[in-house]
Amino acid sequence: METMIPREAAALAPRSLDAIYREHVHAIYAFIYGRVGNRETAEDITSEVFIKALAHLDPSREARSVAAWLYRVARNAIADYWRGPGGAPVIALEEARAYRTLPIAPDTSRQEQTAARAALVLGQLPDNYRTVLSYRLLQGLSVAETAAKMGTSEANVKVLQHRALKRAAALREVGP
Amino acid sequence: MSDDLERLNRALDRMAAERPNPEDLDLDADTAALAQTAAFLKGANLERSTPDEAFVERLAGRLGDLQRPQVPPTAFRQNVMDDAPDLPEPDTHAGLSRRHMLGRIASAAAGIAAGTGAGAALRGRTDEAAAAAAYERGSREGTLRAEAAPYRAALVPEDRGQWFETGHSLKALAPGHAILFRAGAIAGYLVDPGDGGPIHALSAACTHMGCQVAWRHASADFLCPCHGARYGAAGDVRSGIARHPLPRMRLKVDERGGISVWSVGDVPPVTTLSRYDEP
Repeated sequence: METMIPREAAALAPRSLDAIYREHVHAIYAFIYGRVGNRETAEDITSEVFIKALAHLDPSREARSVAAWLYRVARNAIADYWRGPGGAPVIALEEARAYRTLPIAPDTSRQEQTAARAALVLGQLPDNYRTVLSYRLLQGLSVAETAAKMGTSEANVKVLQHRALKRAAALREVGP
Repeated sequence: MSDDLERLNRALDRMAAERPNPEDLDLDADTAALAQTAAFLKGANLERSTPDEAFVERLAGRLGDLQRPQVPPTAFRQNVMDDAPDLPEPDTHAGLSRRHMLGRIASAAAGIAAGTGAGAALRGRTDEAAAAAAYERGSREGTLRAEAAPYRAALVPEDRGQWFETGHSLKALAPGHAILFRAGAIAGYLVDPGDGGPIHALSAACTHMGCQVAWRHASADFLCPCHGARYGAAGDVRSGIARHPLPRMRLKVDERGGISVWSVGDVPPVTTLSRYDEP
């Protein structure tokens, strides 16, 4: 026979930080990774978020509010990472504004949604832009390796990747 | 314009290496926006945007450590406080008798007797013979220095304890890291010194007066909060007032990487300590 937990008790039972960590760590990491673009910083900021949660997050908060708290701390740390020379944060593009119109199935995970959005933007780029970004960003090839693969000069790869990212940034802002 | 190309390119090079932007990289707002777009596109690769499992487990262990109280159980502290002031401080390692040393370990570890069973824990196997030989050699010469005897006597003798699952696995234990565990009556650390050698299970009780030592990742050592004794990652005395290394516990690793340690389930009554003062 199944034991029924009264609704009130279930609602009041605080979730352990470990449960919160297990539930969110993958999505938070992906969220950060997609904004800093490197593993070392993504791991550092992920650690920072959950260690801060340990000290400051009340686990008995409602689940949605817990998630909002975690993402807010992550956003602040990401803004710090991109802080410009004068100490002013370089504003990260707001994904909500940029992507609200994209047709993403609502039941996919946040991590998959981020990936799908990035893939959509990549897919809309002209071939040579998409190629240079695939080599440089997704495969992690050097400028020299990319130049060799594409049969062009290193100087041209640098120009191409700059233009390609400009186009991608514009697509990201506008949406399809 | 060509400066922008170079700055952006430096940022992309670092991203390719999965490293943060260099400190001296001053990105203007436009270039930073492009670098952030690059980060966003890297997120298209699910493999890259999925955290490394070892990292996830390591952080879980760290969070667990931070949540545990850093104070030994009351009974434990009581034993040590009652007992320690009566124990004479030996002048040197060499002047320490085996009986005395065992008594010290026992008092430091919640009154658990350390007997003749010697165990050496290696990654996935135990080497009892080598440990026993080293132990005997050490005690014959009247010394039990950590440097001289590579394998120290196990904290809990074979005929007293039982295996306790620590709840941690090899996967969670990265080189140069330590994880606090509690097994029965004993708190300890699983530590991978990161030198390619075996991992260790060490008692977390300082051998001076029994306070729980804290692992410090940055300096790869254990620090006692009470009197500042410092131990290396293998439990060896680095500096401070402690004269004896952190006692080791036998450990074993199951096929899934889960780590168990040989410990005891309850704290013996304080009176059992007195047997070590008898001839």
